[in-house]
Amino acid sequence: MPLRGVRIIEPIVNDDVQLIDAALSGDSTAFGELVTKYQNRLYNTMVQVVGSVEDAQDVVQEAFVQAFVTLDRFRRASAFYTWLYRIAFNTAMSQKRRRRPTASVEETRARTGDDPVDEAPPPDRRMLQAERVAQVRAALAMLSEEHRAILVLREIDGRPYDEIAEILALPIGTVRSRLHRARLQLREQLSAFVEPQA
Amino acid sequence: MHDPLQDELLSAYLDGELSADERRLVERRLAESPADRRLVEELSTLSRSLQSMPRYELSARFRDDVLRRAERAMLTRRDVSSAPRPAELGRWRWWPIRGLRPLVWPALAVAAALMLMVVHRQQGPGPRDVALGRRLLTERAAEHKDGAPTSEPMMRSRSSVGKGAQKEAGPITVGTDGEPVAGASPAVLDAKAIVAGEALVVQEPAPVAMSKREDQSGPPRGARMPARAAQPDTYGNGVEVQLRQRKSQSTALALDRLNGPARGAGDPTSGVMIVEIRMSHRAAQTQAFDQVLARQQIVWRAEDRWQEGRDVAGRPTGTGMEKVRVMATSSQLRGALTDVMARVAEFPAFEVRPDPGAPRQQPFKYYFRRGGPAGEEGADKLAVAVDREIRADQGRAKGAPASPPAGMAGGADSDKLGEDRSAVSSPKAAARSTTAAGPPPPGQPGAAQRDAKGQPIPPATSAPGDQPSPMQQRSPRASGRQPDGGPASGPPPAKPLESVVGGVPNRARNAALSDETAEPLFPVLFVLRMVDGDPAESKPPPAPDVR
Repeated sequence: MPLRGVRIIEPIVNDDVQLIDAALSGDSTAFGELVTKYQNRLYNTMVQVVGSVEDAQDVVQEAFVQAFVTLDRFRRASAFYTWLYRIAFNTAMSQKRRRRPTASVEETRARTGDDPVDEAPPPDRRMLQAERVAQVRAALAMLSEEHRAILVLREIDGRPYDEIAEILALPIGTVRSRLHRARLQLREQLSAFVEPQA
Repeated sequence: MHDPLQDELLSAYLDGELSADERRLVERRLAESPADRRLVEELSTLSRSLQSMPRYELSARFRDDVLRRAERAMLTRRDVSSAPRPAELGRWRWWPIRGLRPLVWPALAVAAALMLMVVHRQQGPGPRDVALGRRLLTERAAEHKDGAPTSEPMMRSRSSVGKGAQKEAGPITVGTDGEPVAGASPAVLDAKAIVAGEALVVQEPAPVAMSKREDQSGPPRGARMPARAAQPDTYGNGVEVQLRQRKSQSTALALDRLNGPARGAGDPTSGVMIVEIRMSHRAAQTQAFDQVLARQQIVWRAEDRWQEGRDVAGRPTGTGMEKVRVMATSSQLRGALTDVMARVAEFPAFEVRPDPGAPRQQPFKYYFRRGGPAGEEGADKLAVAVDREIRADQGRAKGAPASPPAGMAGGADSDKLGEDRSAVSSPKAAARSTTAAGPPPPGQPGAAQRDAKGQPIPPATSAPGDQPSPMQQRSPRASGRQPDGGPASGPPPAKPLESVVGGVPNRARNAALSDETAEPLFPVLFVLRMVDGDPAESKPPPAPDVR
């Protein structure tokens, strides 16, 4: 029985603190280092949240801009990335609210069909993997926003429950129950893709 | 039947988020229940699927793009409103006392008003803003130096470029915030807008534009304006005063075209000055433009004002503008434009298109060739429109010479605006204008149908031989001589002006008419265009309609 005690240990944030202090004193390059440090991590999470690489890029860029402008409001009660993620998540939700919801599998596939980082598996395995990825994406896209967000936070970004609770402003008990429901729903969606083929 | 609470434990077990007691409980359950084991296995597979999703990377320039945008946003502070707060996600928790909820919106409104007042009065950028702004301006200056043209219409001064260059001068578009909205380099304007924000850094005018102008042509002629700008400001506080001081430079640049010493009697450089004004609905309701004219004692005849798609002959043309043709001195026009500029709410923007120094036969297209409210295309459209209008007038002059509208051109329809010019520059024409045309007596239809709202009267009611028009009366009277310097030869006005002047009768007008000034009159065509929607969004002004 696999027991995955997946709990990503945050790197020591002293670097972040120093960079933040430097940025607040007018050194934009210090903030640039923060951008470099977190951009891809945040981007990969937002791709799954918004379901589009282009939209995710916009969201991440907007999140960094917001973070820069409001950096003096960062109270340092949480990690910088947690705060940044909250900004990005807010931005993503605002963006999705402004746009018409899309749940089409084909559309989702088309929108997320950007070239990912190539791990170079064998071609047949790549096909199967690509198919599976497409199915997971489609299933994720069909979830409600709250379920998709919590799944992405846990499974893709590896956030622990307490951070998820902080980011989503939920009690830990709610995080636990919502995450479980989200998983069950995702399983249902995926089985709906698999069964017709069987 | 599974207990949902126990199922959640399975999920948390998978994530390693259980306490020791909970974990023992779950492990005991898994040992007893194959269904639970299967569920955990499926959830584990699901997790692996999600974790094996492909990873993406952003481009190397993403960081630079972010920093560039962030610095701009920092200066303009436009993104602050959506900044997050710890408990913003999920639900609103910021108003815990239910009984006070009805007061939320009034309180917010008051708070917003107070914040606006504080922001406008403080207007002090922080050190971070200033540092960023200076750096951004430096970058913009470098870009401008590399790619922008070295001479811009707004940056010219008559004293330095001379008449020849003025012939080619493009239109001057000035928003009533005092900043040029066309003519200056977008890079410069962009940087200025970023630094200035909403009049935030008035004390730090954009060094790029100002230094360029000073290098090329010396100090701007805005030095004439402080006396007017220093008058008590009826529109606001010190911020407004600063704004108006900033406006004065643009105003002077625009008026520079009007005040040249060569303009006047017999001077071929005299021409029609076209002033296009964007007018808000509020301005229309308050008859603000009539007030502007009245304050400057600029009088006009019914026949010289037409609106809503009616041409000078009263025929519908399908356009939605109002035009007023007047004769005015430079001082009058300067005062009118200053008033227009001060009334931001009523007149969001205006544009001056001078017509200096051009031969009369010069196609009008020439004057609108460069610049324009919407760039080259808009200018061309306008040029075509005006050209067509002139040609139509010429056609009417040939076809119906017996019933000319008694405009300020002395009743001739041929090349209306050109005739206007000749009426000023030629003694013969001036003498003719004092006798050939004028307002009909109050009892006649042309005067009787002129109401306070300035509704046009079909000019067919006027005929040659009517009383002299007030402007034509004024031209010799105001100057005491013919435009070329000779003694006045026309008869004095026979009728009071109230019958032909729109708007509220202005007592100062008659006094001004008896004022012996030496300033020559020149024709001005005011084009009034209604702004649709928010006046703040009307800058820069859209391309004019094409008749």
